[in-house]
Amino acid sequence: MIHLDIQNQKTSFSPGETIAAKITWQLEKSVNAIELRLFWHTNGKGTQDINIVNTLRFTQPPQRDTRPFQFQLPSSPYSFSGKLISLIWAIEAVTDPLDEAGRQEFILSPTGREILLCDTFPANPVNG
Amino acid sequence: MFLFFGVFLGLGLILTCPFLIHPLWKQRAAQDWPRMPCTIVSSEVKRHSGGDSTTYGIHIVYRYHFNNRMFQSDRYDFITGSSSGFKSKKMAVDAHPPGSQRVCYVNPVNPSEAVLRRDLHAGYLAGIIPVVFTVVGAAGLFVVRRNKLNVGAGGSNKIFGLGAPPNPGSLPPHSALPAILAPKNSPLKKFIFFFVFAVIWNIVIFIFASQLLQGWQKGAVDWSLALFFIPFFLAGIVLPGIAFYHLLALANPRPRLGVSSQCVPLGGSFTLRWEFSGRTSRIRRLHIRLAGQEEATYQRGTSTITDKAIFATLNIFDTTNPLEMTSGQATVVVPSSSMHSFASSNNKIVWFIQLHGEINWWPDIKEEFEIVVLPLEAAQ
Amino acid sequence: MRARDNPFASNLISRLRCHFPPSHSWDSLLLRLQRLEYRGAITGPMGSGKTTILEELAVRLEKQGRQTRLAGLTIQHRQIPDPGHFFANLESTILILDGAEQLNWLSWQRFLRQSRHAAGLIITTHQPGRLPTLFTCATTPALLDNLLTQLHIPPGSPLRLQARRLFDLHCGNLREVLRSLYDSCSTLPHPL
Repeated sequence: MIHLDIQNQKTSFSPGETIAAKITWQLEKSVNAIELRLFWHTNGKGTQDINIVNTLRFTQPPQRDTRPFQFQLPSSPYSFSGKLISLIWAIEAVTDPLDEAGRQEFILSPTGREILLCDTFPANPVNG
Repeated sequence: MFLFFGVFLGLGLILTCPFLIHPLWKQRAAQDWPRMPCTIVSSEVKRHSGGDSTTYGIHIVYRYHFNNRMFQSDRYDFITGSSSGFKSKKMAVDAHPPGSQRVCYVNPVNPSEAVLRRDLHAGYLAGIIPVVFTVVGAAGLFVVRRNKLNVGAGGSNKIFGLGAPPNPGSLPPHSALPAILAPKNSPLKKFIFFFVFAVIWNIVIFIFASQLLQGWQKGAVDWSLALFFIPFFLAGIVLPGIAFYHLLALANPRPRLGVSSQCVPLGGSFTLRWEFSGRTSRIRRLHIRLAGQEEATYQRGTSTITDKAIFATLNIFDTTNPLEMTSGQATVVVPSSSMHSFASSNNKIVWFIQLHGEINWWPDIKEEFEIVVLPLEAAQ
Repeated sequence: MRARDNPFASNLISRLRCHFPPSHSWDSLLLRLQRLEYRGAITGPMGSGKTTILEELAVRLEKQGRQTRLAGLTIQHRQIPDPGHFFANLESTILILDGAEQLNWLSWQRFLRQSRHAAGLIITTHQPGRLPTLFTCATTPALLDNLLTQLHIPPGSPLRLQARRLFDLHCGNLREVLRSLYDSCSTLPHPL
């Protein structure tokens, strides 16, 4: 079992903010390492894109433990959803060799909410 | 595609010499050859069967004297090879019955060479076919090479001269400098594409059509094949029409767009200036807007498809007054609550300026100019 | 509906598992592959699930302790990416090629020559003939129903009826059916 807890149950972060969390694991057998990944991926109609932004590695971990960690978030891309594409940020922990994994999604956005793409913008030009 | 157009060009170049240049050169040279009487020995239309098709050639053997020596030749004119079309050849043969006296033209330098017909006639037009191959091959190679160079220079971001994003999801390097925007697809590019496509398509269709026609002449029509090819024939009619449409569009007034900054942050603003060269009085309505678009790419069987969906549109300028169309400027505010430009391998958010000029009874002006919208943090 | 909520998003489609007709199973497929000395082709028309079977087959072979090396060809990319690596040290590796129909006769002969030392060669192709046929993919309404169940589309949902119509419209091309269903769902205001 691997469990990820973001501090204060926070689900939304501003660009450039630091995400603080803790990882708790209880493994049935020992593993070489546990790797933490900060990444985003797309979902939707197009082929999925995944980009790992940062990683953290605990080598030769005990079979059960709890450890805090933090990642500095980049300024972009924002979490967004449209008809064809959603961009989802997450932190993930995986064992090496891959046996167990845990994952926690969050939102990266200056507004605190996922950017929803919809055709609602008014016409507001300023003609010169 | 390089190989495809390369084969076209190679075949065209190889065949142009024997089918066009050499016959025309000999025909010109024969104008100075002396006239000599000749006797027709034999005359017939020769059939050449190859696969399903039959071609015909004029075969007339004649004897003539030159410098007290007798020669024999079977050259009717300087056209190389045989072709379809029986009637015209039969008429030529009938006009030269065996035993009749006629006139031939003899090469004084090489008297064994002579010709019965030295005028320039419609049969020489067949030599233009390899030239079409050459032009299509060369144009195709040019377009393919230019597209490859463009991709190498950074694909869709090349209008900013900035190169491709270095990492998935990252933004192109940005500059706050003013810039002239280049359209995503120029009218000339569109015309060349459809013209080349229509020529290639119709050459292939012509080959199939001539096969079907020959079958029809023989009274053995493959109706299932004919029905199968009907949509392809119809496309062969429509494609030149599309090419012609884009040819007409080349005569449209050409817009030039400039922006005060190459990249603009969410919530930020930029000044857009435009001017037209050409007669703007023909434009009935000019509509400029900013649009945000999702682009998702996926595999469909063996081809790659990109689906697009516009998620934001922002009117910038809309007028029916011709005086306001020639040139103008507007300040554009990018919505702060929207999504910045984004590009990963298969998914993109693209912002662009759409310019639409409606013209009565003529192709409209429709051009798109990409801009980069930055995230708030990156802009700050 | 947001792209992330769409039940036909590409990441969910790529997780769909193969569903064999009653006469076939993974065991029978692996046994046949063994009898063919690990050289065989999965054939079938576009969108009939060849790639899905191939990918799952690769996982199962890896689980058996066999090394596999996979490459995919498309109309845009008709050459093996990084051939130096793909054809290196083949003695204990089973080569897996998705989209072998993209290779013309000459390229296919060259591919066969370069892969002759491999421990196996499995391909997908539209037409049989290049290698002994390992399995022929065919699409049926029952297979479509199974996929919809895997995608958690409830029985009796209007999407199922629409899927049946699309199945006929796209001549059994399941990939096209699922993509059309994606478009239908993307216009819905809320998740299912």
